[in-house]
Amino acid sequence: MIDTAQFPITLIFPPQGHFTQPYLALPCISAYLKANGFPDVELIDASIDSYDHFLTGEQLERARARVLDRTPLSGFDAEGALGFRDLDGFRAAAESAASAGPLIDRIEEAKEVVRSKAFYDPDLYIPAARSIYHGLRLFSSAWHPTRLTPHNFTMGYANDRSDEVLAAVRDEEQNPFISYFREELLPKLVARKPRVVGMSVIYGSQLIPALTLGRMIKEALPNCHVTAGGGFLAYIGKKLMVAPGMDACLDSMIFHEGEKPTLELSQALCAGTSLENIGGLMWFSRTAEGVSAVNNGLAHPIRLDEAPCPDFEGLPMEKYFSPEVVIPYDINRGCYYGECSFCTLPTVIGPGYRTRSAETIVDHTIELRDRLGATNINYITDCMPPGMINDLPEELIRREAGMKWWCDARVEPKAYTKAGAERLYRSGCRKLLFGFESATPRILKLMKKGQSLSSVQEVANNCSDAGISVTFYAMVGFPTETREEARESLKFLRENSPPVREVSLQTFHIDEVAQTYHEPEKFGIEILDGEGTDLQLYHDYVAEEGMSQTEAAEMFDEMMQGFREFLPIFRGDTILYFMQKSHYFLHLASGKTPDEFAQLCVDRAAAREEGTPSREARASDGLSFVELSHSYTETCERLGSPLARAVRPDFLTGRFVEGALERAESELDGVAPAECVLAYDPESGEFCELTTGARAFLEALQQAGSLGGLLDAAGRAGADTTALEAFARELHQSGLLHEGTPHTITPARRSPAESSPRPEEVTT
Amino acid sequence: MSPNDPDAQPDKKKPGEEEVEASEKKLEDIALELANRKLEIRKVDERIAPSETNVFDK
Repeated sequence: MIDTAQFPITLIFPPQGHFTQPYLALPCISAYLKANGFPDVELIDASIDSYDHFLTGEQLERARARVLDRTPLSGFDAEGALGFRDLDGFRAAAESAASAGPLIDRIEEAKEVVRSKAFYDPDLYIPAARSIYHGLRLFSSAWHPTRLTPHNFTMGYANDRSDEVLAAVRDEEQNPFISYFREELLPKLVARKPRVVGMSVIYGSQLIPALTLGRMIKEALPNCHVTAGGGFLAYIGKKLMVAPGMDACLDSMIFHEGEKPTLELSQALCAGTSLENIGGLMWFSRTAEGVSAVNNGLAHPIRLDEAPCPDFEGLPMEKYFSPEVVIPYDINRGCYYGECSFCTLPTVIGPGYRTRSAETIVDHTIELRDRLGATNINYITDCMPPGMINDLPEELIRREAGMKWWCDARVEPKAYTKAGAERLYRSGCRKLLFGFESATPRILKLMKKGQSLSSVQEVANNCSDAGISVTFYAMVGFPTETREEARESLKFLRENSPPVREVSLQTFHIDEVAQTYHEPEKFGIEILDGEGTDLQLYHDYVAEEGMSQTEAAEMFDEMMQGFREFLPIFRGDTILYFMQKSHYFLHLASGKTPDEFAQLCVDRAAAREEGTPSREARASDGLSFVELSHSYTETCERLGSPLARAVRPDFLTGRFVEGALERAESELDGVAPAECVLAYDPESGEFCELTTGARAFLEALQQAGSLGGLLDAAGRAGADTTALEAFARELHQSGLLHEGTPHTITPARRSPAESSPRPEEVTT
Repeated sequence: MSPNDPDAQPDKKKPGEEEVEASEKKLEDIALELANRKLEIRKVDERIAPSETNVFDK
């Protein structure tokens, strides 16, 4: 038997998750292992580590070279039309040629902005966020057709076919994580020699990277037991474990919450005993006869209120792309309501609904505050239970926790009263996200939401009046929903904005755990099964009435367009605050009211849309131009059509739509040759397509130093400046003209114990 | 006459003025030409891809 103190365990969050804050599962497991006799637990967030690594000048330089080698612009036929299959590669090559140089020069500064107090200056934040997005596009171009974005990782392989997943795991040409793991992560693991590596796979976007890493660890460290668990595997894990060849990547899989199975697995491996009595574990039995998957059945859940405070030690807090890390903490597991017919989350988190007491939650909140120097917390819950809506804020106020927080919530009018909402605000609550879903009572009834529109309005108004920002989750395309009903939802949201500040919209999907899958006749749908999709979780369907899946996708676009018009945070480029998880919340936490932030967004959009450039307006010295044989704008528009988007793996499901490529090829026109110039402005992070005359204008503006200088020169030459002034306004609206000197930031990295940021420390 | 006296370096000053004048003339020519050229800018409507709006979950 080995001493547990001499038994190294490494817990890894594989790419890709969002880069603004750490995830919670592994810190929970780490604390549980340490509390139960395994002190040597290492935490690695390979997602933030890889984002940080890929977004460096050195790596983007490598990406540029790889694009030039694999998909150079010169490789596209300059004379003929570009067919659909060429468009994505052409876009990637064009963007890379225009933006690689400036991005390589500025990417470190962009990361510095989102990690420092400069974050609070929109003039610095928006271009920095754009640079990060474009940096990832450049990186992705190097691995075309692979795409790594802030929210997703997809390859040219389907997530629902094990043979494709395993092929992706070994594809050196398109899988960027093979070389990353080989060069960066694996050497550290080989030096440490962990006896157990546990990976948390909560999203489909992590599946291929996790299995890639599992395979490499198993090859490099044959004595290390590689296990994986997490939300996504709770759905497809059993299918994955019986797929041919999966034993090359994993030794076992953990279902539902990971604390107890990981502890018992470590104890068994440490003691050299059998794995067959470990609840929640499915494992490979390797004998002379071969390999077989053994399913031990479910484990008993732990008593949540007795679980230790999550331990984030070892996670690289300074690397997350936020000026202050927002700490996740789970107040309960499961859902006290548990009725919504579309939702399957409670069933995969684990059996039953369990909560911590308000005292324990605040004990741990204060412990995390003091240990990490954090002042912001994201309470993780499917929805805050009614009793807790009263108890938690009271305890936070009584203990003077001094934290700002946000969480998901359910519309409970008896709890979110005016007094209740004010108490929540006083306790530090700055944002609540409610499941609104639809404004049609018929649809709400089918969904079993158990809420009325009047209660939705009442709760939202009470919270908003108290100063809490309200976000609604909404859904489009629920079975039998018509276009008219979806438009009713849009109208309702428009009329209730404010109090509603953000809407997180998603199209309806059917997974195999959902009631809609098991009782399709109740919802008037017929479920379609894929062929050869042995890992299939999500299913297409045919609706007897209401919108088809394609119509729902079109309605999604229509609704998003509506949100862009009436939600200030969604207007123009300020939508980037919405896109980065806690970034809008951090402004609220630093003292801005929802109204003040909305006004900031409105003013910013108006300055861009309606403003006129001053005579001092200038073009950036860093402007970069590339001449193209085909229109960049047309290419992007073609790729943005619903038909073309269906060719890429779906965001939620990771699936490819059958026949989508063929349909896009036959129905979408090619892009005809047309000489144009693609410009990239590093100060605004904007791509624009120009005529050669427009390029000459910008170069002349660079030479003149200011718009006034150029217009004066035109006047002296006897030219009518009307057209030039009109064009300058267009450039201004497109973000290619700048007022004042270029922005710079004062390097002031946060330290873990730093207090709230001070926006005035930003210099321009 | 000190070496730093501008009058001590007449040869350097004169070309500078010429350069400025030439540069201004060139800019005027360019500006005149621009007034008669096709000036167009096209910006991609950066619609957020539907797939990437459910951001709180991922």
